[in-house]
Amino acid sequence: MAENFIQFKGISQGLLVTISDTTWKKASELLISKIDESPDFFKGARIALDIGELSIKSLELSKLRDLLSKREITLWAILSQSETTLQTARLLGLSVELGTKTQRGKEKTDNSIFEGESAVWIEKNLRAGYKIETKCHVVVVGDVNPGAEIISGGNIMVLGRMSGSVHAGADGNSSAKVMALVLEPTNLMINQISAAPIEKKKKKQPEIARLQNNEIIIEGWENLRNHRGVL
Amino acid sequence: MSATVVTITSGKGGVGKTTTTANLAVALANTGQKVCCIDGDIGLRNLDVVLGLENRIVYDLVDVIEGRCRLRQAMIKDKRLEELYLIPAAQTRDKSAVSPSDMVKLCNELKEEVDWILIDSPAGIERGFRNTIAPADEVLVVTNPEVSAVRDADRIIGLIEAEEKGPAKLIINRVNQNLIKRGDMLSADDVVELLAIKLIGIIPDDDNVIISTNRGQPVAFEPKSKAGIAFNNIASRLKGNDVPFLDLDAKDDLFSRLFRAN
Repeated sequence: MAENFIQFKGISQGLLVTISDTTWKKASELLISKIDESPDFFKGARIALDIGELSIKSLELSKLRDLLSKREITLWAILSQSETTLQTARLLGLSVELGTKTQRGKEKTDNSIFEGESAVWIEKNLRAGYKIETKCHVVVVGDVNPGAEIISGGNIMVLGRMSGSVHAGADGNSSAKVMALVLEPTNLMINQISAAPIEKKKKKQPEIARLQNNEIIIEGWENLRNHRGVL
Repeated sequence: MSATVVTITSGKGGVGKTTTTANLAVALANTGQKVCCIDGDIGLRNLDVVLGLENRIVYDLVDVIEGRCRLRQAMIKDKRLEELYLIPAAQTRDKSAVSPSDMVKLCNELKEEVDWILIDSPAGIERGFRNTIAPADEVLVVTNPEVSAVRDADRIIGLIEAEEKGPAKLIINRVNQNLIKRGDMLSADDVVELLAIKLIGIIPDDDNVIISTNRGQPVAFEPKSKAGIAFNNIASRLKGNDVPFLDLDAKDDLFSRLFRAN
């Protein structure tokens, strides 16, 4: 009976769980109960969830992610036809596509620098309490407020005021950069290296933070144009 | 009638949610609107105290939801204002006694009876907050010009957006013009710039608020106090009127003149 709405399928990136013809509440309960039937099998698994046209909110999704992480299962991607759901997934830093092997192969021929060239695109203000953790680059069109946190495997770019906490190149990429129209983060890290406390400046201008000799340096936009090479 | 449900929330405690709820209720009822406030802070009720209706409680919100009384029986009628009602919170239960869908159901029933339903939200982001946000048509976020209160307001605004209840509107309470001038307090502009939502009211820091709260006689009854005027202005803005913000630097006599002009 349950098999009617939940299907498990092994794919190269882990497990693909497809949910159809049911509500989000039922589906998530069913998924958890399925997992609890054979916890050893699922332990450590990476799950991508295809929920069809269901539209879900971040609260519901983060609840499921919490339940899964308690069972040592990672939810890493959400597939859906609903734009709301995709937004929600992006907001929580989840991938919204599987990134098939063939696509990866193509990227390699284009001299890709590191894995996950895609970027998470967010068009809103990130408020206190939001946390985005992703291997991708992050682009925010809006402000990042104090108390919001971005952890990215790649670069972070904020078209607005960056006053939250950021960590770029978190997976060991020392060429990652953080750039913002106003760069006033409470915490700034690149590849596990912290910046000295950043003071608010009178003159607001776009700035870029990058690593040089294992130290974070912050430069104004003007400065940067003199030696393009660093970008 | 179909009422507008307005939820007053803040995240941080002690910034003036209950005072704001009581005063907006009084200000709206004063203009002939039929208003019912609901105390959403189950287990820690105090809206009844601020409104001065403490000694009239027979039934409460949980009694209505659990079917021990009819909605009308739990609505305490104010003696001063014809059209002001309060549904108090239960003192002996906790937030889990009510669910978000209970609140939606109750508000739908109440909507037929009144013009405005004002819900006083508890502090925090847990169950109690969810309960009060669920039936809201409009959400007002109250904050003080302090970094900690603004941070919590930012968080709560994010949660309101995630619940698809946004965009919330902002009330900045306890603004002290002298401290701002000395550079020791965030100005209203600073707060609005950070939170990036629409400002609907600035309440000046006013001793009358504390005095009137203790007396159970909301300051909105007093047309001479600055805070009272500010609350009446917010009520007017809620009704869709375009009211200019008070000039907090002005002298007292000018204030009373301004008010008479309204």
